[in-house]
Amino acid sequence: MSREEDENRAWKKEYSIVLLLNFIYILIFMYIMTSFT
Amino acid sequence: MGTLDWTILCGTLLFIVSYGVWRTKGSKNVDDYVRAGGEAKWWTIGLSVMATQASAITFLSTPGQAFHDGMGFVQFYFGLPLAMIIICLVFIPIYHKMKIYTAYEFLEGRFDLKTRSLAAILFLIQRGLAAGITIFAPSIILSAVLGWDLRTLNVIIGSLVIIYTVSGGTKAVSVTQKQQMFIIMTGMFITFFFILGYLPADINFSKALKIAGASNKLEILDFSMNTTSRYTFWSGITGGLFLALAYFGTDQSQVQRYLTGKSVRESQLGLVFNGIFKIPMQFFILLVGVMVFVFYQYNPSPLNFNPAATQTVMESEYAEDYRLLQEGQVALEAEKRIAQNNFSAALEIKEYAAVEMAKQQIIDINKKDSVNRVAAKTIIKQADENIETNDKDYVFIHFILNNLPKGLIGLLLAVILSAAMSSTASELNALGTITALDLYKRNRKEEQTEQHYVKASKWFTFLWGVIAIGIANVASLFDNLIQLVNIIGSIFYGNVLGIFLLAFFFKFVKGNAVFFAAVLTQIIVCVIYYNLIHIYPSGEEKLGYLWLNFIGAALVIITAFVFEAFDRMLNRPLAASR
Repeated sequence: MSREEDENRAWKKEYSIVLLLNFIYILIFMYIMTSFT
Repeated sequence: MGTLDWTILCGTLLFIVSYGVWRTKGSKNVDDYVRAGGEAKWWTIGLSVMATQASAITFLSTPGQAFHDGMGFVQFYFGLPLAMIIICLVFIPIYHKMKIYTAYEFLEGRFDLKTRSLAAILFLIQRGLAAGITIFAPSIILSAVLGWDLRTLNVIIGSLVIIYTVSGGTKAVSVTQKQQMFIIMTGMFITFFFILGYLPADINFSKALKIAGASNKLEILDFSMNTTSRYTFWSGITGGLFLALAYFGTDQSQVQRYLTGKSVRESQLGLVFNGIFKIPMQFFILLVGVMVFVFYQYNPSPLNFNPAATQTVMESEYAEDYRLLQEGQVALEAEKRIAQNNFSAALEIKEYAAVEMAKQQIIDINKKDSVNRVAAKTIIKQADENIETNDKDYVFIHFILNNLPKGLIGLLLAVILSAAMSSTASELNALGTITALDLYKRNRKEEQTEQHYVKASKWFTFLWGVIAIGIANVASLFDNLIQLVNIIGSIFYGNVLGIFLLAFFFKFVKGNAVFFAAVLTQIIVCVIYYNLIHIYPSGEEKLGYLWLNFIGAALVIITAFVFEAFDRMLNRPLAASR
């Protein structure tokens, strides 16, 4: 496998951002649920 | 609708179509027409992927879903970000490495021609039907509400899409989807702020959320393991991941969007964009629906939002019963307004006991409201058992037409039609591409020029456009066609996803094993459908049709393993004797 292919398949910081942001969304949803109901 | 609305609606739609045609005329070769020259930036890909998934029904139904059942529907999308990451890591690098035009072309490289053709045909059947319904679904709602002719509306939506999709191919689809997403989000934001403005002066956004919360509309997360509940956190994470993988990873209408990327990185960032913004977008659309609910706490609403249903019952022998029910509802609405004012006043003075008392009062009134609406549905069914009583698709459009100012109504109708056009364009584009490249080009013996295949792609796109309009026009002959199309999708999706999972993760499985496993799986899935689902059209099926997705994928993988093992067992002595 070439270096470029390896890079294409490597974990990137953007994926961590996706996971982190979606985790934050869930926390916000929990906050809305508990604060407004 | 006033002149201003018509001007905005027609102006917006004509601008999109002519801009799409003008910006993308003259595709030189297949790469230009099918992959937009492979020049797309990540934001174009991201918007295109989102616009493809968000059809008119998303903007008509989702606010209605929140109005009736709250915001729990957002959990359905929880598996999507994970699917985006898996596709970025596994699917995109392979697709780009092989420089493919269609997802099924990859299957020929990995397996053989017959597996590629089988997957392509399965796609054409389900997506061809779905394209018709993408046109039909908003048409039936708009024609019921606005009194427009259903067939004319089908032809208008279909023809507008055909013009720019045939003319400019994938590039036209991407270019117009950027405009469409801009119009869609602008329209939804303006509407959101208008709704807030329509609430009583003492109700700010925070109080509006409290009011929604008191009626259980903000039950966003459900961590229970309840399998009978349609949307839970766990079903979203597992089922949602599975569906998103199948849809974004193997459905050509989506794959074609990110194959336009200038590089692997641009394609990956396009899907990262979707993974970041999809859940907030769905949350926002649901929030609009919740605000519509709050609005109707202070304003009169019909017992059933489908005007055709109300008209039918008022013209029947049950009109008097319905009128009595309506009078009861008017009295209940007056009670509701008083209860909401008490709740708001209690919140103001921060008196906990008073807040709880007012909340209980609201819960009691909402229960009565639900009883009235169920009773209304029963009467409507008695008047005409064929009429659609589920009115969630009509809530938002009823609000738009009866409350928004002139001009904004035209813009919101442009939003709905833009959404219909953006999804249909991707579907026709994919259908034309698959037919031209996977079936027509691959099975021709003599070589042809690039221009020939561009022309063939255009003709096939046009043909699928005509077929989609035809399906939309006969759709009303079937009772529950939208449901039927979802079922047909589930019958094929699992199998196709299974084939792709075998291709990516199980290198030892070869073409013959996969092909025969896929054929056998398709037959078994059809038998399961016929015996456990189809024979119970009353809704009492023994198996929910969504399970067909999982069964299809699992079955094709397991049977391919078995066939591969047999194949190796049979071939081993031969190999050893060499």
